[in-house]
Amino acid sequence: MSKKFSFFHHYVNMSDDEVLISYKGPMSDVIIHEISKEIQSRLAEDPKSGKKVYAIFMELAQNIFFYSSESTILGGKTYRIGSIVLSQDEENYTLTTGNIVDKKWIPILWDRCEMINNADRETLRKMKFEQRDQGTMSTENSKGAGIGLIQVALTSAQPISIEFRDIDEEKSFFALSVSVKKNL
Amino acid sequence: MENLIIEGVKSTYFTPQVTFNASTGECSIAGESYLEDTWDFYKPILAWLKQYTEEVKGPINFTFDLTYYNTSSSKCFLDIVKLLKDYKESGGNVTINWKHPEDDEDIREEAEDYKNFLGIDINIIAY
Repeated sequence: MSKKFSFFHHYVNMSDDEVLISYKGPMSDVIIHEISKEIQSRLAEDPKSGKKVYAIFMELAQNIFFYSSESTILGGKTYRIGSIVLSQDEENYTLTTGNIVDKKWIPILWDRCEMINNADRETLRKMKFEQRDQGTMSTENSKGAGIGLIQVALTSAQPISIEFRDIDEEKSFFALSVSVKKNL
Repeated sequence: MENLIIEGVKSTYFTPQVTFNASTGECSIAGESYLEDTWDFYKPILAWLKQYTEEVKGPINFTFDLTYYNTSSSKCFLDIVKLLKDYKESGGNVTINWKHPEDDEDIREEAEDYKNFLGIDINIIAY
């Protein structure tokens, strides 16, 4: 059996934030829906920031739903596996997702995040529009519009941080973290 | 030509309420849009609009009134706005309205992007 990366221990080590929601397992449509409802109810008193956290969660959860390299079969259906944690400190809500990816995606994801983090808001808006215009619904690994990460950056208005850790020759653990300011 | 009505449903996925009137050209997509198969849902909607612009050739008053939609849905909205733009440029009478909750700057910003990058009039209405 291969040695698995412990997302939970990693998470606890890197952060003193208060965990509001934490999930690891098959990212089914039903689970996504349940977590999204939980986010809405937990953050109901902070509606503007809460809606942003909700919208970011939906995009990140759909990334796991479509792209995680780890999967399981439940009731004859294949579900991709991932982790998602919502935490808070005094100033921010932070969503952290984790899932296993094929190593070939590492340079693509690095470049994409670097490009997004270095762009100003106007550039991001233009980039999103152009990519939406060019994106097709049928290409492999682009089941959506392929602009989820740009949208996440625009919604959060903060940099996206990503991290990889090797699991074996072919796979890496991919963690992505993004924050939303409270009481916007 | 028949009207196109799709009831909005909120369950595991969110289907928006679609109300397209073939005799008045009043069309609206309202509510939330997050679908299991986005393209499968929007394909007949685009087909209806195409048929209307080719056969009925009447005016269109199109209203987007959404409180949440994912990026996959936004791709289909772009296809709709482009179709409306083509119709307008070929002489069609087209008005586009984009409503957004007052505190939702993200939706307002997107509507502005459709307007600016496509170069088409969109009435952006906060409520």
